[in-house]
Amino acid sequence: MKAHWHYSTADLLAYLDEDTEVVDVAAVAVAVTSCATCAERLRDLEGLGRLIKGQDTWDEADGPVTQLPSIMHVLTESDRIAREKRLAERDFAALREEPFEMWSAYFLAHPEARTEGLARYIIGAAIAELDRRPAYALALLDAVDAFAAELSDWHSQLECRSDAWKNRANALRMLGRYEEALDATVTAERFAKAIPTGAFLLAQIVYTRGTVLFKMGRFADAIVSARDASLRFAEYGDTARVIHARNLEAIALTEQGDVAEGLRVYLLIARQLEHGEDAQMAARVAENIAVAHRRLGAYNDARAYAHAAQEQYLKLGAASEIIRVDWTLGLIDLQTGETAAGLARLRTAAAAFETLDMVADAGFVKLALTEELLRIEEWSEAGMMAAQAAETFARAGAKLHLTTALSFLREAVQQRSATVELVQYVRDYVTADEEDRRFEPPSRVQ
Amino acid sequence: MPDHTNAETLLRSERAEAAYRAHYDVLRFIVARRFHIPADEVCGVIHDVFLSFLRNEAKVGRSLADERAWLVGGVCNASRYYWRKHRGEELPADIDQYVDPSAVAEDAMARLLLAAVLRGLPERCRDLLRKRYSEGYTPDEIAAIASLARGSAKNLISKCLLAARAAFSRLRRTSS
Repeated sequence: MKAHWHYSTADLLAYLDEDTEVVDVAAVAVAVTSCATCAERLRDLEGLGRLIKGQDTWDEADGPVTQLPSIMHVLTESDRIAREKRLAERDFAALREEPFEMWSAYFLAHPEARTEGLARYIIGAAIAELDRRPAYALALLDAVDAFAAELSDWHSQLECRSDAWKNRANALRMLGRYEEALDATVTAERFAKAIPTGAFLLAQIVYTRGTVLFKMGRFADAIVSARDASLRFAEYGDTARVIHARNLEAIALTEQGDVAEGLRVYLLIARQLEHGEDAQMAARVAENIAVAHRRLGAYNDARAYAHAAQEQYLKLGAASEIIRVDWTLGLIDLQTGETAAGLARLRTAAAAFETLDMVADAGFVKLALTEELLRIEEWSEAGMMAAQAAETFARAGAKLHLTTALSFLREAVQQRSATVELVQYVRDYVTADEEDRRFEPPSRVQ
Repeated sequence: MPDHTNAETLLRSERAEAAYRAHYDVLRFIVARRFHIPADEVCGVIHDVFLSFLRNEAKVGRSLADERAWLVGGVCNASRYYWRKHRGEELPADIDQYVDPSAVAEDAMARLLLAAVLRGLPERCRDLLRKRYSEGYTPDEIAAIASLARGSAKNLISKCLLAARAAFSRLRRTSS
């Protein structure tokens, strides 16, 4: 075999300089298209060329050699944060015993307790309470905002207040007070923008706003926020949060009706998750892909992803999520005409949710059962199921506006005037759970 | 106080110090050269970002690349904030665009290495390279300025560039 001949570095440099006295420029141009080694070396030299032509490089070469400045100031701050955190544990233990209205008296007696560390500690405690007791979390965050406004360091003050308002938005979203939640994100954003290092917090605020808009059914706006948040997180190389933001984008796309685009985004995320360590997110995305496939009528793919998600949830020991996937599998059964199997799955899922004390979820499954029973005109069973759904939501602590909607549905089923669309309408109303929005029976299904 | 709290503090400080040593130069380069922040403000901008890093420490990935990306994102945003404060809301497009932090860091590291190589070259060599590649003189013009024969000038430029390239490759290998 004939040995392959490569151009020398000097030749390639002359080629880049278009120096025809040193090298046959046209011949090199042809050679590099067929020689991978030459092409790679050429790319390497082009890179060097770009760097050596850059003014930045020369400014750096001509500038003084800089010594590493002392980090003492940063480390002193680190010590302060740690010291305040230790004291915050003690102060919060005392404050927790007091009603909120007595907190100002505590701070009068212990002015040294009013620190950035305590503010952050209480925000952390509020975040831990968000799912379980959002109203209590909100009260904690209000208390933080009240005393954080008096922190002497303006940077700490604004960052703490921004974080508190971001989490207020989360608490208000969970309480169904969406307009207030949106307003809270605006306040949080104002504080974050006022500090030099507020951009990471701002990315989280934009994401939070997306989740509120999603709950409000403003899917197009939620998509804009989710995309904005993912770009902001990407600038910090925060892949995990980029994935969360893109997942929100995909969910909103799916709910908006652009299921195919939603699915495309999910599949992109799933590929990124293959190499990561976020098993919980990987399972959730697999579950979401199953839902998207179901909506697109690709039932085999839907089942495959649902089973994959269930397996992952099984490994994680996430009992509630396993039931949720069963719910999806039940809906797939119903859509493929396997009515008996589908109804059985949904009944099992409702019972399983109740066993875990996840009563509201059980109520939603019962609404799905009501819808299906109406579809097959099993009026008496549908009536019983609607009644059960109403009773289940009442047990879950549903407020008057929701019980009104559910009672309306139950009566409509009993009077045999209910339709599948009415069940969907009521379900959407219950899902949105906006206290300020009175239940109005839809005119098209009255 | 429980021991773990002190250990946690120590870990956090050690992490911050290690990150500072590992990334300060790259961050300085980005703040000073890419965002053109005045020299006496550069350190302040970077320290603000390190304080923010400490506060968000639990949210930042543990690998060197994760830390670097987060810090690069931090200094880019803090630099934009600086210019917004000094120039108003409208920023030049090249400053106001989102960046890929890994690419920006890679580019900064390469330029820092090459700058170190150029600094270490004999003065004559460095001047020839500067004239040719930074100031854009042709070999003929350089020959005239340096009172050299045309061929000698071309030869010297080529040799200097090859020497710079070799040193750059060596440094890159050792730094990675």
